[in-house]
Amino acid sequence: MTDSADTRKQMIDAIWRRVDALAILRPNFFRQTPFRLTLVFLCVYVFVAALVFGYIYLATSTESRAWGNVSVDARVKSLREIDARDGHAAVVAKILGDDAVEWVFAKGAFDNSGQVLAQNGRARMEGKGLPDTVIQQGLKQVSSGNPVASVNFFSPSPSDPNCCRFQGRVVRLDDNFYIYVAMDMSWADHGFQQEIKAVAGGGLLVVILGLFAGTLINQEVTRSVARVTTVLERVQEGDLKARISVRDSGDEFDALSLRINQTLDRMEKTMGNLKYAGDAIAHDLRSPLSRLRTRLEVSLLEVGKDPSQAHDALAGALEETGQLLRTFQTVFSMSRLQAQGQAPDQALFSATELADDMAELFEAVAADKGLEFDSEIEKGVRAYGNRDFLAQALANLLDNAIKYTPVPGGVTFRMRHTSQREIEFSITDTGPGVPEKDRGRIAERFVRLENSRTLPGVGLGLSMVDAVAVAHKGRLEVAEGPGVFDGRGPGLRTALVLPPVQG
Amino acid sequence: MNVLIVEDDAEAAQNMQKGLKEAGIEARLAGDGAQGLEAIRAEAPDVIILDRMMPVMDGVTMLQTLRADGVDVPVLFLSALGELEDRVSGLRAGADDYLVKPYALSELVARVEALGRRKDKDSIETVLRVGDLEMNLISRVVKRQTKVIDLQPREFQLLEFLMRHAGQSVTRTMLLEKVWAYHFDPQTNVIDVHISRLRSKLDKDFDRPMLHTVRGEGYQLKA
Repeated sequence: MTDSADTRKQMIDAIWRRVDALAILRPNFFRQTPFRLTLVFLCVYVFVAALVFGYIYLATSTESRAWGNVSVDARVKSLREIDARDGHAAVVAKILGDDAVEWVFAKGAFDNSGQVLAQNGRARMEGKGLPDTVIQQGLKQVSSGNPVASVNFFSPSPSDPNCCRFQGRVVRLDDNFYIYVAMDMSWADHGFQQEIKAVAGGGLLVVILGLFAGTLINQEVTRSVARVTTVLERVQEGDLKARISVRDSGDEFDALSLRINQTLDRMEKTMGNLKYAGDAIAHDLRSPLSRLRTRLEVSLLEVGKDPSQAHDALAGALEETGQLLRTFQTVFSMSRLQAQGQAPDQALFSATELADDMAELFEAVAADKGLEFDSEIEKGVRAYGNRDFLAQALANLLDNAIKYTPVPGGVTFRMRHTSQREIEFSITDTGPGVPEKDRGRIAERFVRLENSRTLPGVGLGLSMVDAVAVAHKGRLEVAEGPGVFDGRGPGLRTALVLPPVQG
Repeated sequence: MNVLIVEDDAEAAQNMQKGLKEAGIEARLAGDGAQGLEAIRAEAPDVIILDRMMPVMDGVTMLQTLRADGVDVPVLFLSALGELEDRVSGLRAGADDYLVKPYALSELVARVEALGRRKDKDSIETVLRVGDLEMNLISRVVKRQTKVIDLQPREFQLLEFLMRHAGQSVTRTMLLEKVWAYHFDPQTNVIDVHISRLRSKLDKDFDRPMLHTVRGEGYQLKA
């Protein structure tokens, strides 16, 4: 019968897996916060419930006692009246003549020696126990000064050992004549006990369900937390691409997960930037360094043949080194800008003044070459950024424009607010421009297009401008210039656009 | 002029010392901040070249100590930290100038000379004179021999700077910094062009040129 054995085994496995998934058997379970919170909540509930319950108990039992007293006192009163009117014998007769209606009450009379003088049906049914108890208590408590005493006792009944609790009075009518009336409270008790059982049962059910709910909540929360910790562990181990899967339930865990994911995105980007920066610096410097080395090697050979060359050779090498250092500075600045993500030390400054200064500086260069230079600079424009980096970027763009524009020709420099309140510095020239397919490339490092190889420079200018623009949350635009006109053009239009100033 | 170099890299310090000697400037060496302070107390230098990053006592702390002691000898910070905020914080600590490594020796010499001459800056002059060139700071009139030279405002500022540092080499970076107030390396010839313009106004009609180009360094105004 291996089939049924297998099925049974599978079922047990399935159940076990379910139970295991609840994690209740893990050693850490009871220390986990959601579970502890549930416990706290349950404790509070139980405490409050106990208070309420206690109150109800007290109120109910008080009321029950009061009701019992009232009933008993009424019977006592009637017996007293009979005694007053017709004497002791009449009372005895009354007691003996008790009928089924009065079954709840055990009544009797006794003398001061404890001898029973009369018992009603109920008292007789209870056997010796009941009257003995009453007589004992009564004789003890009642005296001439204190004719009425309350008695409360439990007298097991012959038919039912769990019954009954009696509440009553012993009254001294005479030196030798005492009566008692005791009421069987078991019905009241019974009702009350049912109530308590119901409440207790209900309470227990709530606690059990609460613990179960607590377990489920705990499992849910732990799972969500585990998702986060797992991803963070993976990131720590080097997987920068690990992200938390967001469930779209809109709860706090999703919000937390989204935030963590965003932070990880930024971290990945920064790490990527740093790595890129390191690689870039190494890459960018390799060529100029090897050029320098080659030059020095050649110089060594030449100086070996002709020692008088030494001074010039060294001076040339020094110049090359100077150029190398400048390249290094540019590459380094760019990489730091990119690694940091934004330009350092930004402040509010006058873009108009910056534009005016740049125009003044480069108008001379243009004039010196024989080019026309026009500037249209909007007044009163302010921008936010690092003035020196921006000046360097603009210097690059202006120098490029002048460098690549042949004579006769012209360069125009504009600065204005765009319709979206951005700050735009634009430079247009009437040179040959850049073909559209190449325009995307020219901002890459060390790219120099075919028609510029003969001109001095290493091709870092535009990539520096791009880095500066991005570091200011702006952009570099490269587009076609004013067009072909009079044999010149189409030219190039470059623009450095800064975001609007806040506030 | 005597200079104190406070630098923990012995080789770099010695190179600086040699370079300055070539320019006719004597330099003492101190290997750290404590030695530097001692050397200053022994004999006050004209200019202090201070490395920013040193063990035990770093440059900024030493400078602050100096200034707190009331020593106002001009200080040139040398630093591998090139960020703008480092520069600003260095200047705020009491430095008078700031050079970032790697630097050109000629740049260093030019700036040290400029700082050494700064003592004269506090005197209230109304007229600057270099050779037969005269600049009246109140009337903004420039005359060479007897001829009035017409200058644009920026050219005036440029000439003023050159005159205040007459006989010293000033680098392009220094000019961009002091005359135009921008701190970056003008890798292009933009400064050269402005100097040429000034030179033509200054020297064209005269037989003795005053504004010289110093190869590999910068410019110098000399009588």
